[in-house]
Amino acid sequence: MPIEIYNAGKYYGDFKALDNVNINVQAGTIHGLIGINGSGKTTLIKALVGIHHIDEGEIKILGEPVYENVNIKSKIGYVADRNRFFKSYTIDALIKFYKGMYPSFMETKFDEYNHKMKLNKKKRVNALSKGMQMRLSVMLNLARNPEVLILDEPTSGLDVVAKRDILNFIIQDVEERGMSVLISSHHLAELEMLCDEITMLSSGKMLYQSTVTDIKEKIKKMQVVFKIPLKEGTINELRQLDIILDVSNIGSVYYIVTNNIEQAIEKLKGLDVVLIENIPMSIEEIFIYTNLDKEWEHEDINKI
Amino acid sequence: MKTLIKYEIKTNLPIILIFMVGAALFGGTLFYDSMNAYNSYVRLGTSSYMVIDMVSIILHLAFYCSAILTMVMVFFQFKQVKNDDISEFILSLPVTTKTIIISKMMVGIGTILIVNTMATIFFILTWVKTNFWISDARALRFAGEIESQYDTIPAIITMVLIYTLNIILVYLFLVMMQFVIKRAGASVTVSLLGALSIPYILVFVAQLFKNSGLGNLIQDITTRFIKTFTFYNVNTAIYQEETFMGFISYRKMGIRELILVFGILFCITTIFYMNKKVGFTEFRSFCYSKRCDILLKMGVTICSLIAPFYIAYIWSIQNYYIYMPISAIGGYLVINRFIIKDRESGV
Repeated sequence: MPIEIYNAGKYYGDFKALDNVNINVQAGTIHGLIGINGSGKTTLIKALVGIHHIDEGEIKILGEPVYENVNIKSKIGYVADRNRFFKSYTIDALIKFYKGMYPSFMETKFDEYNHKMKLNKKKRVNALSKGMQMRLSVMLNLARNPEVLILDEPTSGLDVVAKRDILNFIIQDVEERGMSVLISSHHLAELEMLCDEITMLSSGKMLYQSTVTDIKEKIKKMQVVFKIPLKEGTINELRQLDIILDVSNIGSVYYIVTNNIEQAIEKLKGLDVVLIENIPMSIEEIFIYTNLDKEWEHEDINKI
Repeated sequence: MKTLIKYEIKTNLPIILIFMVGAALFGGTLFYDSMNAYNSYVRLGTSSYMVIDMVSIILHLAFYCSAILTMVMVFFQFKQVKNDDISEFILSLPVTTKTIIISKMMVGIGTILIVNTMATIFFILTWVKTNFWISDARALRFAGEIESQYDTIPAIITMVLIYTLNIILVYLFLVMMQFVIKRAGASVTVSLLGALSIPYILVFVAQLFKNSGLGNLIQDITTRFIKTFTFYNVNTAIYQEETFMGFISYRKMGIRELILVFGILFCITTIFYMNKKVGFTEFRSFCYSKRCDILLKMGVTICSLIAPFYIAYIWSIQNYYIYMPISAIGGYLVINRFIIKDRESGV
């Protein structure tokens, strides 16, 4: 497996930024990393590309520990969430720098991408807009032909056309070369389309790792109508249940989100239910519901 | 490594150029002074003139300029890798942190060596150019023969060599301190103040024990310290006996050189140890550890405690010791606030 993370833990002073994170990414797949701000995504990514070392557990890329491992680091592409280049360099100078650092760098491949992206190679990095810098970062990293590509918020600041092009470049490399990708993003709809699997982090802990279909199978939203509208006390009782993520209502129609559909239906049958209907949910909605209850999300990932 | 070295040179090019211009200026000054000497009193044979004496004075002046430039160079070398967004880019490159630090040190020490070699060439050219008439002038003087024994090309080379060791030690000390203090700028400042604090404290302690033998001993240690590390007041005659040339002539190794070489080796060892332990980014607090923060606070408090002694000396204030506790508390509060503020602002 190209990316293996076992019981990873990382401290910043007394603060535990990562806590017992376990992720495996299959070869030739795109893996999404989601979580609210401060959930530990960037910390994990920095450890994955060898910027930080972790205090607990193990991180392996292509079967080897990554920190201070020159051979492995040369096989990892890293697109950071904002410009991390030498600001005074021109694109040409950066290409030269990349050629010096990475023998696998192909200028012809960069030029192919640039044919679409149309970046002026004589321009300095600090004269480029945020979106242009992101395009440049993706192009430089893909032109290196990395075996593993790690991207932190790669589509932030990009217009829709550039976003589509960039994602197409990545997909093309995954299909043609079997490159493995780990991508963190707040654009969940985008990840839903792109990713084979998704891992969700919250407060440094891993909530789940699963395929998009599995997550959608496990977390369901039901539209429920009862014979007699529920009392506040009953609603609160439902909310207390481990299997219930959220209960809301519009008039007499209740919307119940659960991580265990069978048990939830059993429970609802005892409350004189008239109608139960499944409502399809996007990954974004699932993300919102799973982040609603902090106490719940910290307990046990197997609940999902 | 080659690409990293190129990057380091590119980043530090303005400083490297200033260093080179400085070497040319100091070398030119020597040449100009030597020619002036020829045009005035030396020809008359009434006074002595030694190129090595001028080299000693010039290097003494150059030491302070080079020390300041070295501080600026270290700041620029570490600013990006420690404080900026760029640090992540550099640290994600397929190189170890050891390679990064080695490439930085190669450029830093390389600059010092190249510049000092340039200066040495200037000095030797001046000696060669002026030797014929200086020799003539010495022939007329009673002490001319002794002077000609001191004023030699090997003596000039040795002097520049020791001066180079001094500057390299300053550079490596500053680099070492980059692994102790989190921020590049703060590290350079603390290093400078930390180095100055040693004679600052020693002079006070010597004054405290001035009526006993201990006072004289501390005074002697302070003078030795300043002379060893700042290329201060190098006397040509004494120098000849204490240096490598002295070693060759008298089979006696100079203590100054031993201390400098030991200091350089200590700094290099510590740099690699700290690089492994802390790296560029694994700082837990203002310093690399909370214990080190406490040490820094203690140091600042002690220096603040002594401050009224120096103020009283300048303005002739009596009973300065009354103000010492207030000064110490003030110093502690300032450094404590500074560290807390830095901790809150994060990396």
